Amino acid sequence: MKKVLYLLACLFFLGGCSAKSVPDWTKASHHQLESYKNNYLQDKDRLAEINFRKAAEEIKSSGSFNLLEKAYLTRYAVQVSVLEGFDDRDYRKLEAIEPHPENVHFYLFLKGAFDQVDETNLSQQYRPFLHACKKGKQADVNLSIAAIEDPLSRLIAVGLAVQKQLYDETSLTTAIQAAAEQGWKKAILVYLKKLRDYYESINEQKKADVTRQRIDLIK
Amino acid sequence: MPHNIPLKVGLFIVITSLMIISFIGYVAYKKGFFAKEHTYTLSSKSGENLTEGMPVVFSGFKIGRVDSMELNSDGLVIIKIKVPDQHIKWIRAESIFILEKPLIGSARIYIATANLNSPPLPEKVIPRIVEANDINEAIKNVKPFVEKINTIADNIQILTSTLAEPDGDMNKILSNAKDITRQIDGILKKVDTMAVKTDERIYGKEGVLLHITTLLKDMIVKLKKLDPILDNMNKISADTADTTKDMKLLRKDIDSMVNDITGMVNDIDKLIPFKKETQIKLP
Repeated sequence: MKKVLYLLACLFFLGGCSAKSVPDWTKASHHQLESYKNNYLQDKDRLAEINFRKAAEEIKSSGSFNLLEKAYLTRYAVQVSVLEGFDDRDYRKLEAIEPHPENVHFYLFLKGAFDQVDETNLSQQYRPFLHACKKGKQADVNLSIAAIEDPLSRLIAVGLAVQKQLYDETSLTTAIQAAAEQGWKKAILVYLKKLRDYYESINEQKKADVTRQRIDLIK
Repeated sequence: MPHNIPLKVGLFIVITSLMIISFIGYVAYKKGFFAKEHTYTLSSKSGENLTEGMPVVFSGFKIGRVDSMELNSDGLVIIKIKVPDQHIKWIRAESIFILEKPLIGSARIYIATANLNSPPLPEKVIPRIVEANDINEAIKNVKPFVEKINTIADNIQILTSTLAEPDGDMNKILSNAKDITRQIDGILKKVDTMAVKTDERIYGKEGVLLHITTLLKDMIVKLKKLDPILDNMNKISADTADTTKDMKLLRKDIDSMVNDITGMVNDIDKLIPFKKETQIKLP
């Protein structure tokens, strides 16, 4: 038993020694941006704002336009995921100085300009969704959303589907499920309200009432 | 009986006569009787106010006299003045001869010489006398005033006649003023009555002032009750200020601690293998 413990300790230290040193600003900006996502989706807007500001400051200290563009796009993506619009002036200023294809096409994707998006420059996880949206088949859209692993990415896809009027009960339920798993209260409420409106639009009053009750209880 | 009396008397008379003659001669000499005199000829349009023997004056001093006057063939009065040798220096070519007739006193010829460096006046030249008649000038100056006084007197006469008219404007104004005074008197009586009523309402037994006084007394009592509350509030605000200071210090401590913890976490993070990726990626 002792031998096993010694071995583990050795591995621990060796692993520590072999690891490449990561700069403080990278860790800090990553941490702040992750906190921003969680706080914003948990309806803690004030905290989220502080997190984003700190993340941006840390990235600015590195002078990396690419990362700063990514930070702003992350912010816009989070806003899309809860069915909000976004003010893209900050990103556009950066893009005008230093455009990066990956960022440019993700921005077009978030804006809903699917025809202009080059698939090769878009993350792999969104490609089936993009295909499905272009075809306009609801069942394919729902399947492609369900296939996305990352919960935030799933929410972003649902947000874009709602934007394109390519949603139904299944897609909204998928979003509610993803938000509920992560404890993102704001996202849950937003999609529950959307679901209620959807039920009302198709005259499913009973379901709409149940959904309203769920909203009242969660608030 | 003294000797040679007739001789002595004769001598006395002769000596006395010599002394008198020499005194007179001396005085005459001093008065310029024997001095050489220069004759200058002046001309004038009129001989009015000019008399023989009238003085010729320079800077207020008599320096000569008018010797003779005659009318020439052109109708001009030719005046000859005599000036003693010692005074001819005051008479120059640029000198002006002015016939001055003061308001009081006799006329005289006044010599005005602006430039004493100008050449002497030749005796052959006949300058013209300029008249300066004070009386006429005074009358000329007074005339407009007299005219104005006459106008004023006329206006006063018109005014007095208007005032005297029974149906005149002045009488109308006065009668209107009487009416106005009567009306003001009526208004004053009404105001007086109002003042009495107001006085009763303000200062009477059930007057407003009494109520106000009672109210003010109540307020003073209530304000006194508020004093301790204000004291407490002051204490609370002072305590709050102290607390704020403490909070600031506490926050600094917490900031410092958080920084320390962050540093420690970073240090531990470096030691942990297989850690999560910290790269910023698009969601």
